[in-house]
Amino acid sequence: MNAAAWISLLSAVVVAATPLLLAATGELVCERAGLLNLGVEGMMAVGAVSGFITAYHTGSAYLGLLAGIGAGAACGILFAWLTVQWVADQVATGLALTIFGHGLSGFLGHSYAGDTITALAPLAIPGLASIPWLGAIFFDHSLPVYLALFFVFAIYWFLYRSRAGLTLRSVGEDPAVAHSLGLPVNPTRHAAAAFGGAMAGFAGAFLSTAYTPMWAEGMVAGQGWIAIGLVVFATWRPLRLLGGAWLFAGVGVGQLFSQAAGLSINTYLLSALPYLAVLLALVLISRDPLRIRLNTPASLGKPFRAET
Amino acid sequence: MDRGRESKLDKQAAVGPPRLELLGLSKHFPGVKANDEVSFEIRRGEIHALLGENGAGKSTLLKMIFGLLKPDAGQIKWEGRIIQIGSPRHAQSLGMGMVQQHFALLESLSVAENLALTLNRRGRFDLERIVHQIEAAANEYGLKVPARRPVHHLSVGERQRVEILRCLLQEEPLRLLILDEPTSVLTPQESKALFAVLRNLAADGLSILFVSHKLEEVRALCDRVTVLRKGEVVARLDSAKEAVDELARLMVGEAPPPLLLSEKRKDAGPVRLQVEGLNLPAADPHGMPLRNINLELRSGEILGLAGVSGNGQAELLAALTGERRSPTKSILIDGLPVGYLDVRARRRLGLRYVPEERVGKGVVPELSLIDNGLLTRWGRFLKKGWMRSREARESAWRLCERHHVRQTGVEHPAASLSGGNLQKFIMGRELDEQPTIFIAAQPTWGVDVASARRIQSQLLELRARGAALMVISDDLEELLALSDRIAVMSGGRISPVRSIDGIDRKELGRWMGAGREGWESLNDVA
Repeated sequence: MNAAAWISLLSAVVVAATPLLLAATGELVCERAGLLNLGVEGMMAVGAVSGFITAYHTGSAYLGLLAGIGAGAACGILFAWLTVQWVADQVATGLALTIFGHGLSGFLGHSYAGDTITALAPLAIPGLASIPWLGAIFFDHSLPVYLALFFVFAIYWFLYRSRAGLTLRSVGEDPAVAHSLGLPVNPTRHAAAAFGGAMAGFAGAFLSTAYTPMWAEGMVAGQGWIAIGLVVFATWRPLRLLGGAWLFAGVGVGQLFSQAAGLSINTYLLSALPYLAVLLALVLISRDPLRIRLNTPASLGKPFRAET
Repeated sequence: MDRGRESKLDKQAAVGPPRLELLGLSKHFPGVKANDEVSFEIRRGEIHALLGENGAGKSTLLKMIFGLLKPDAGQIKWEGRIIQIGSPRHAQSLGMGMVQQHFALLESLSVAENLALTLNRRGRFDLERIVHQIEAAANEYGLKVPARRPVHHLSVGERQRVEILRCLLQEEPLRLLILDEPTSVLTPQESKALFAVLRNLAADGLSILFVSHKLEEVRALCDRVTVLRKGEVVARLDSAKEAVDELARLMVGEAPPPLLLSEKRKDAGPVRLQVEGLNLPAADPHGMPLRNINLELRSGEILGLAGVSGNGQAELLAALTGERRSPTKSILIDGLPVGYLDVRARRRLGLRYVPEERVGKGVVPELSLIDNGLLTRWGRFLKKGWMRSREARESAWRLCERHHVRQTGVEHPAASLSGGNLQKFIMGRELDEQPTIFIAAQPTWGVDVASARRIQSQLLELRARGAALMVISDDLEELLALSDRIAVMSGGRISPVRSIDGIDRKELGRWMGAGREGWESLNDVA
């Protein structure tokens, strides 16, 4: 492979990692507050369909992104309402949300199947984009690609350098203690779930307005599940999301490139590679239980009800 | 120091209303009256003791004072004004601080981060400034803590100091400090140093509510005493100088039954359980590794294992019982290497035990007493692979009768039993199987006095029958009363074993704090 091919491969990896990063960043914040939301896949689907429909009718992909973010946030708020307010089981609620999201996106998108829109235009960053190699790989993309990278660092700063982030981590580690210290446990969890939903919706809208600017049912295709796996892979540390997202996206893009290059391996096996890579990575990461236990939010998935 | 303080106290008590006044506070839970018309007052600059047994309703009362629970009836007056405390935040804004029995610290965060959660809530978020604040306050009050360390690296004494510092540093100047059973996790030396700090704080005008069930401490530290029994105030004493017997009678209701001492201690028999050079890494990041443990347990003796909890006792128990495996030859039962054997296999060799966590390890709370009675001895009730349920039920009845377990029916879940009855049930289940080696962890923790005496008598009876016993307890008095020999665990190591005759309590106390920087540095002040 020559230099140009490498650049286009790596640049494609950065783009393909974007929806994973966006959704995983949201899920990480949500899980750090102690809420295990397995509905990421469904929230992405809802975000994708509302983003596409809005962009289709308004002609603006940016409005589509906003619509996706809003729809995702609504799903996140619904999740928080059920699991925080009504103390419903988080795993069951998350799975139900995924099924609901699939159904809703199929229903709403039915009449748009196969329609296309004008994709979100790339915004080359002046100056940076002309750096050899790096410019083309990192700085010649559409807005969400930059935002995904920005959010990873912003969330890192938020979690470890801000009071609100400290509160969020405390709520996730031990809501009973946080409550007794007078910290707002339920509002924090509501906000975290809403943010997680908004980011998942953003990721979905990115898929339908920028990555493949057309509607096809099931276009999220398991990326929400990969994002959840990515959070575990990163052991709940934001900066480690980057490596994981590029790795998983790299396997996905790599298999496309190798198919194009005419490698004679069963295509179904090749398309399964990203998922196998996630499984393999999770098994490897779980070999060090100490590291996982030190970073896992201790109250993850457990309901909290204050005494009265 | 004492005289100067009393005059200051008198002056303050004369000026203005009491700091906190409770007027007929009541709280009911389904089936229980946790607090019934509780009234008393705490003056300025006084150390007030709230004395009561486990389950007397002290914790419920504190939660109401601190805004964690709403009273069903009654009023709270703060500095003369009737108020309703809606949340812990509100209580803090009035100038209250509470150190709970289970510390409200987040293990994965550093000391500074923990305090940052409640300090300068409105100001700019600046961890460095909080570190400086902690260090300054630590010096001023003599409460040394490592500000940048994660809490899970701290000793229990250090954690308690962090909690007290948090109260002292809170936004609204602290006017009432509530301490819930503060010494239950401290070595005697650490307790002494804590008392010195508390006396100084009270001399500066701080009111302290000291909640305890330890009579000697209350006598040594407190100005006045309120005694709580079954949710009601049974006595208000203007001086803590009351005789210990009198306080005990007030707290328990009747004189506790005497400990049934069996006949003279016989010479110990052959070695039943032996531990040789046992090393075991910690199972989780908050645990304690075991370091080169050697000990012998002989038949016909009780070996007491003292120490502040969290120093490796739980890990040693797990290794001895088979919950965690260890190198084969590091543990021997009757000379047989058993390190690789699991709990069931060791049970077949005659080893039975009562875990510290009654709910979760001793019983399954949702299951009935019948099913719980089967947990460790179901083999007896099997016939061709089928459970003989009538026999199981009858056996559960007999178990409850023989061991005085008060229950509302054996088909009810174990969670419906009180702590004392649950412990009698678990003890009875294991004792009825005639163990030859018996290990009991915190056998009387949280158990009322009458039940505690019964349990202790059972342990002595079992010894008289020739079993080898080991008792792990935080309660040194209990160990001194029961044991033939005593050892101390500290920092995952075990001390030399001492015979009970002519034992040196000071030495035990020093061992309990060995290898840890504790309140000892302040001993000279105290």
